[in-house]
Amino acid sequence: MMDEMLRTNSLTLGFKDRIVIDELDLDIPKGKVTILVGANGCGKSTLLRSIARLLKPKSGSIELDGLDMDQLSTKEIAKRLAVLPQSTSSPEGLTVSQLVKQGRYPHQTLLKQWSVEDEEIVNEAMTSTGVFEMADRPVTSLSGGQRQRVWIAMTLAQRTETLLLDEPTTFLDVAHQIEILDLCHMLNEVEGKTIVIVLHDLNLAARYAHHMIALKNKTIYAQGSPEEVVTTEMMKQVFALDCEVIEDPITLTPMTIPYSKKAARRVKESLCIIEA
Amino acid sequence: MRERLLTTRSKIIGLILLILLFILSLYMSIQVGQQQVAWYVMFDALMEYDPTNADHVVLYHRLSRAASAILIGLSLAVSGAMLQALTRNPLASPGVFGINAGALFFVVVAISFFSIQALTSLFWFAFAGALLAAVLVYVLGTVGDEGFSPVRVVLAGTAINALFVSFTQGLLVTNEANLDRVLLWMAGTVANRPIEVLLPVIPIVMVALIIAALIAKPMDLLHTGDEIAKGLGQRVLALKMLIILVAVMLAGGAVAVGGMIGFVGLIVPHIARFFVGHQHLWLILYCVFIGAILMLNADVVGRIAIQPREIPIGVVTALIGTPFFIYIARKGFKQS
Repeated sequence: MMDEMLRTNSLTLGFKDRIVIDELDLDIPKGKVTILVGANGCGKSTLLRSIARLLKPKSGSIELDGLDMDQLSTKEIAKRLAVLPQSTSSPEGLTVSQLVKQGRYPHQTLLKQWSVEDEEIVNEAMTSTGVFEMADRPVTSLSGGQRQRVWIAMTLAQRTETLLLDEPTTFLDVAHQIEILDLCHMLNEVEGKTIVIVLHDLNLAARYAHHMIALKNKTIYAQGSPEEVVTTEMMKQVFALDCEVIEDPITLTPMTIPYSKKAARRVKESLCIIEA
Repeated sequence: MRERLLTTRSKIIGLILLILLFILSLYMSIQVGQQQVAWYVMFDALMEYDPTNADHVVLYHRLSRAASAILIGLSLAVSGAMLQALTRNPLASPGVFGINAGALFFVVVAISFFSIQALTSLFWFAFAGALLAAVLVYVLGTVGDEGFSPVRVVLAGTAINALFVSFTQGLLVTNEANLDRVLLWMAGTVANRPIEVLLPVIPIVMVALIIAALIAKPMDLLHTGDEIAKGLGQRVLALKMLIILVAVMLAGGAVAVGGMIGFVGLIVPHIARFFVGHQHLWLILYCVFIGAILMLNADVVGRIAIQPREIPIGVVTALIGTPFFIYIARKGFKQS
């Protein structure tokens, strides 16, 4: 059994003349939660989108389960890999179950239409994301957190081993952020899914990731366990921010406390008081 | 908005009611007019047409225009539904896409420069014009850094529409002799269209409807968003090309037969969605019947409103459509 199910070979990504990711070789471990971090515009979303074949690489290749993605049909890929893009507009006039059902699309053909098995898989996906009770409600009537769970339910109905999520917690309050990440954690623990997430919140990333990848200068700056990746040096290099890194009192994972102009003033003030 | 007919059962019952309403409208369309003709004469006329029998002649004319109305109504309605799905814009329609204006312009060119009179030949010009306008609008709305955007497509459509309308007017002003012949095309009419003219259009419309039914399910998926659809293994660009092709085949056919008939392609999909929501197979089926019913009745109204003269059907649909358009536009803005 291979330990990597997703691998990029000298992958170069970009738009027109601008290169965003340059000759990247990346392995994503199987059955783990991998979280991509980096400054705005560092190409982490671009990388995720290209792995999900939503963006064509300029050069290089991506391997899925040891197969070149270019050789696989887009429907075949959809049976192995599910993606939740960043900007999902909630489609008008669809109920929760109608939306989740779309996840079965790659498994259907002109001859093989909706089956009892499909129905069961959809119900299961709605149950494990806790949206089963809202099955007949229009998606547009739901809150942001509920909507995101419905979208995740749709990707679960796809029954793939790998799940890619692009900033799934954006626009959610902190309680719903935890809820979504707990759900990802559960899917990894219980169902053994390989999950790749692009996330902005470093402290949450360090909590939930088995494997972290920090991107800078069109390539990987650091990768490994959260303890290996989240350091004061990485924060300085990748985010150009001075930080203290302490231990998260709950999970014992690294936690960053940034310095800021205001904090600096407070420190100065207290120093003045001491001097006086 | 949520659909009113939730279960498959209720959707089937709704469809049966629509079919009954359709038959009633067809009957009305053949019966209503200045000259009263007993309905059983219709069978005689169909079985053994006698060109010297005045009743037969009247029936033949009414049947022809009913056939035109049905064909145009269902084509424009389904075309509008396809374009609204493509652009995710509730105000999209063949008219907004410039398809009508493109077709009209080519027809005027054919009449003015090539002195073509036969409707069957004009049809191909109309079709080419519709295709050119649709491709121009799609390219203008798509090319650029941000890619395809519904708003840019509608803006491009408005521009192309204005361009072709200006060209058409320019040609007519410089060549007034053709004005009479073109005027009815511009107003939109189903009068004096012998059934033979419809014959080349029927297979095209049939093929388009079959393709529409086959891509109904992928269109359901497209409704969830381009990237979601791509992620689920849909070849989105190919699907969009097919949608445009179907929309152009249908709208091009409709314009070729009846000229500029507005609003049908805009409002019928909304009425259909009100009942069956965004399941496109049902939506297409409902559009077929609602479109036909609307056009049959608009034609009857046009025939009897100011007897002995007639209001062109395009004017009737505009009278019904304008308030509806304003309603949708206001509702749409409130939502976004």
